[in-house]
Amino acid sequence: MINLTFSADISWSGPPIVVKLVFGASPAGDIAEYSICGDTGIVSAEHEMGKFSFIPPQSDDFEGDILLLDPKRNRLQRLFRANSRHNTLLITERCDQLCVMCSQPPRNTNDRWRFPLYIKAITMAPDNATICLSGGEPTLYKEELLGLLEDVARARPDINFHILSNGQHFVEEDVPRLRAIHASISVLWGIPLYAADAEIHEDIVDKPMAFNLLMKNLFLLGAAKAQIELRTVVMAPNVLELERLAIFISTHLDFVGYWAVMAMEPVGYAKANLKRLFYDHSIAPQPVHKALDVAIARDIEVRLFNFPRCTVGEQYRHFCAQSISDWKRKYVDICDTCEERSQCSGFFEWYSEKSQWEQIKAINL
Amino acid sequence: MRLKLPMKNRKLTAKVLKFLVPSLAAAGSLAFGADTQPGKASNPESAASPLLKNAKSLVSELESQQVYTLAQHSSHSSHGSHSSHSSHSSGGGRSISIDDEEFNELETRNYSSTPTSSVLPSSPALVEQRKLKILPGNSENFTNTVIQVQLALASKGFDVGAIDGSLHARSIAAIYEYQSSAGIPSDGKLSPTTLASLGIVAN
Repeated sequence: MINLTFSADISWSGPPIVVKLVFGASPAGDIAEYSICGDTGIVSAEHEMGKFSFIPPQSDDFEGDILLLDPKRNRLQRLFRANSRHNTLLITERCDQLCVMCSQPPRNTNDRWRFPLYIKAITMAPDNATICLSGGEPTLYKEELLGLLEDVARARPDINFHILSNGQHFVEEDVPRLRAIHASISVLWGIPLYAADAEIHEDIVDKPMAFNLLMKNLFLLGAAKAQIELRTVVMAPNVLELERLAIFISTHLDFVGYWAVMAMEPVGYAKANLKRLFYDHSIAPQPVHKALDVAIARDIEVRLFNFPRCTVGEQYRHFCAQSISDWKRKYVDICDTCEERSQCSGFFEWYSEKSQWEQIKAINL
Repeated sequence: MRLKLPMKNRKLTAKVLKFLVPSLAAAGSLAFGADTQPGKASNPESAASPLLKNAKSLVSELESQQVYTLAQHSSHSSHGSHSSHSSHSSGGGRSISIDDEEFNELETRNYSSTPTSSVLPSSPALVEQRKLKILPGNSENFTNTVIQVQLALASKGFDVGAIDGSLHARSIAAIYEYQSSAGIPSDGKLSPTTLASLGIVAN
């Protein structure tokens, strides 16, 4: 686990700012020059506002990192780790759905202040970076979010966005604006759909009428030439519906580019409701296999996220993506001798005996 | 308009499409999606072999979709019982300043699924707010039926795991195995055909 927010010693006071760490640079504008003490690991940096230093929770490479500094609280957040593929910006903790397995239960925060800082941070990101925008529900700040996309499209059209949204907040009037955005910058919308059955979907997201609204809005996004990735978390309440969902998607939502079938992240509500939600696909992988069969037969780009390779049938392993972000990924003892470890998603940091799949094993070819 | 069981009834789905099409036309295009780039997700390697292997059974299964199942059994709690969570719509025209209260979030927020800061699950108070509802699968009738199925399969020599009335993965695996050995469409569900073939009358 890589800790991304920790305390720092900041010599000046003022509002939060964004800086980029560059070794040997002269501190100017948004750039901070820094050095790492070989003995103590302390990172000392100099910015035109003053000096700051911090003790990293674990030793790491900080070159090119983009940091959010809060002088008032002497806190620091690593917004971008230049050496990571898994950079996510949390847009808000608010959400209008309350999914039964939410890994990050919503809080009623006010997050508008983040946008100007995030825009600055994104414009400093490495070339062709892929940045995930997550929540909560980012489109609750739709105006700010679309503004951010437009600003970045002008300044940094090489950036790729992956936005995790519940798709509940689009209206027809957004279509021309979205089309213009999609024409100028790469955006993949990751949108959850749990079942082809409205009642099952709505029981999971805990929002009446969410299904119909989602269907309407998926078509609006399609009309706006969006790239769409449908995301389906596999749990006891929907696992036997996966095959029908595969048929539904391929029949009615064939403009969708990707389908991510995901194993549950056992934290937050998922942890609280684990007994009711947990489905051990390593014992009974048939529903997952059958959904994949349909998806393949009907030419949907399907991937398994968060599924360790040993938990699915051998002929389905190549669908498993290394989807778990590096900072919260771990491997267990059994993995030590596994020959496919380097290609495997591994396990969430909070994977425990309670959420343990029975059939995990080292794969030796 | 509430869309139920869309796959059950193509007419229903057609209605939805009819409802949606004008909005697409209004948006200026029906020809969406054709030019999306497979940019982010790297493509799985060729998936031909499992496909060919399973194509035959797949086709027959697609033809014989079981629609009604106990898993969608009518005991849903009504949506009226959902606790009303405030919809957190954005803060209106309130002007935003970065004050202590707001930026404090960064510091105090729990560890979470997204890396902004971290990941502690929710506070216990939040977790408790999310009351468990009675889902299909929790009703008494359903539990009784599952126990009957578990007993029937166990007596036929299938490994159903715990005989506890819950449709857990071990029992689902046994149902799949039984279904394929009995030549019933295998969907892992307590379909009427499956129950009938086990001699069980569902309530």
